[in-house]
Amino acid sequence: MPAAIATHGLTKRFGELTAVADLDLEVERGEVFGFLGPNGAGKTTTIRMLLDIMRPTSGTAEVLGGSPRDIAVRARIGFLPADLAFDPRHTVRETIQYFGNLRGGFAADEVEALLDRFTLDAHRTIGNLSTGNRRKVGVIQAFAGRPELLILDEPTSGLDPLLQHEVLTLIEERVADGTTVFLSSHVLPEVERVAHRVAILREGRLISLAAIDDLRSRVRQHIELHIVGTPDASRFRDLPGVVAVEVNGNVIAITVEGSLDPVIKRAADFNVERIVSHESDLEDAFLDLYR
Amino acid sequence: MTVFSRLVQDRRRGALWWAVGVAVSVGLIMSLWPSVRDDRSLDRVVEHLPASMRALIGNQATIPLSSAAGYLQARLFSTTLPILLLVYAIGLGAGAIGTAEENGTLQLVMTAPITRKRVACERFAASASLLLFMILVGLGTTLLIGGLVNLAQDLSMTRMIIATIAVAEIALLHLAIAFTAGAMSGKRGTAISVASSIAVGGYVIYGVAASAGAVQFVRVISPWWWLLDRNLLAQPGTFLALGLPLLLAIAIFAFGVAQFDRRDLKFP
Repeated sequence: MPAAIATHGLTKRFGELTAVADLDLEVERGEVFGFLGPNGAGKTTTIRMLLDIMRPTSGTAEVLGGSPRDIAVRARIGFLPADLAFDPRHTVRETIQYFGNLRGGFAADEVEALLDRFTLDAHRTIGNLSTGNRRKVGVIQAFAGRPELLILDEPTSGLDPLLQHEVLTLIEERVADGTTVFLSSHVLPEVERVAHRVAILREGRLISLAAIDDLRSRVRQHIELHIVGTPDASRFRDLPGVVAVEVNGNVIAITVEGSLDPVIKRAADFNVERIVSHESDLEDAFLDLYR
Repeated sequence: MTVFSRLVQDRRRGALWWAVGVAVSVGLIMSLWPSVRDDRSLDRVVEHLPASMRALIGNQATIPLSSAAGYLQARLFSTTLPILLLVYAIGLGAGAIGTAEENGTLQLVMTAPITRKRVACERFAASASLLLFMILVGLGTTLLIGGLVNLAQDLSMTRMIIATIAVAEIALLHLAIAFTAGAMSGKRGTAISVASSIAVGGYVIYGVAASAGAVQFVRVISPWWWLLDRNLLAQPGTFLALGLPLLLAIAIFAFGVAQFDRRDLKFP
C-alpha cells in the first residue's frame, strides 16, 4: 500500500520568496504525523499543495497513492483549515449537510453523534456562533465522512482546554480505527500527546524529522537536589547524560539529557532533603531546533 | 448541482429585493406611457438636445420620443433597464468566485471531491440563472403593465421581447467580465472595478463618439453602441445587438474557467 503522503523535492516559490524548499516527506498509513514550525514556516503552503489549492513550483506531492488533483483522492481526505470561513447565513446543520453533499453525503448518525459530542446546536445560524463553536463545525465536517486521511491545520486553535482535549481524544479514536492524521500545529503539548512522528519546518525547510520517543530522549530535564551538609558537585559531573551542574548554597541544580537514573542513584550517597523537578516537555527540545 | 443550488439559495433574499426594485422601476415607466403618448412638446425638447445626449437616451431622429418605440427606448431600454441589470450582473459575477475566494468561504469547497472547472461552471450558471430571473421580472412587468395601458396598439410584444434579449445579453457580458476578473484575481474589488470600468467606459465612449465625428469609429468597441445603435423596438435586430455580446460572454466565461483551473488559489 502506498504511503498516505509522499512528497519529493516539493518546492513552492512566490517570486523571490521560497515558502517551501525541497521538501521530502513520507507519512505512513495509520500514523499521526506532527507537522511543526513557527508561523510563516511554510506549513499551510505545504498543506495547500497536498490539497491542490496551490500547485508546486517543482517537485511532487502524492496523497493516498494519487495526485491531489484527482477528485477520487480528495474524496478520501478530511480537511480542517486553520482559517475557517463559513457563510454566516446558514445554520450549522445546513452547513454540515452542504459539505456532506459535496462528498456524497455524511451518515446521519455520524453527524448526530459528533453534534452531541461537541454539544453544538444544529439549528443555530453560523453568524451567531462564537469562534470556538465555528471551529467545532469545522471539526465535524472534517471527521463526519470518516475519511482515510485527516489533514488538520491548527485543529484546536480557538477551543477551550476541555474541547481541545475532546478533539485530541477524537483523533486518537480515529487513529485506533486506522485513520492517518497529518497534524499541523505550533501547540507542542498537543502534538506530543497524539503524534508518532514529528517533522519540524523552518523557513520552508525540513530541519528535523524524528519519532516522538527519540525527541523525548533528547529532552533536557532540570532537577534541584536540596542537600543536608556540603554538596559536592563534582560527583555528578561525570555521570552519563549530565549536561550542567551548578551549586547554589546547599542546592545542586543538574541538567540531564535522557534518563535520570544515574543521577538519582548517585544522589542516594547524599543526605537529600528534597528534590525539585521542573516540568519539562518537548518544548525545550523543539525550541532548540527552532533557533 | 450542489454548488449551483447553494449559490442560488445564498442569493435568494437579495434577488427578491432586486426583483421588487426592477418591477417598481419598470412598472412606473410603463404606466406613464399613456400621459406621454402623442405629446409632441417632448419631441421638440429632444430635438434641441446635443447629439451625445440624444445618443445616451437611445433617441433617433426618425423615431419620435412621443411614439411608443421612442419613449420606451429612451426611458427603459437604453437607460433604466440596462443600468439596473448591469449593476446586478456585475455584483453577481464578482460574487461567483472573487468574493467567495477573498472571504475564504470557497476553501472547503475547493478541497472537496469536485473539480475546479465544475465549481466555476456551476457558480457561473447559478449567477446567470439569477440574472435570467431578474430579466424575466423586467420583461414580465413590461408585458403586464404594457397590457394594462394598451401598449399593444402601438408596439408589438415581439419587439419588446427582442429588445429585452439585447439588454439581457449586454448584462450577461458584464456578468462574464466580472466573473472572469474574479476568477483570475480571486478578489472582489478587482472583479467589480474591471467590470464597472468597462461598463462606464463603454457608455462614455458611446456618448462622446456620437457628437465627435472624427473619433466616431471608436464607438465600435463600446457594447453600448452595439445595443443602442438601432432602436430594436422599431428597427430590425442586428448581429452587434443580438449575437456578438452573447458570443463574447461565452468566450470570456470560458477563458475565466481556464484561468481559474490553472492558478494558485488565495485564501486568507
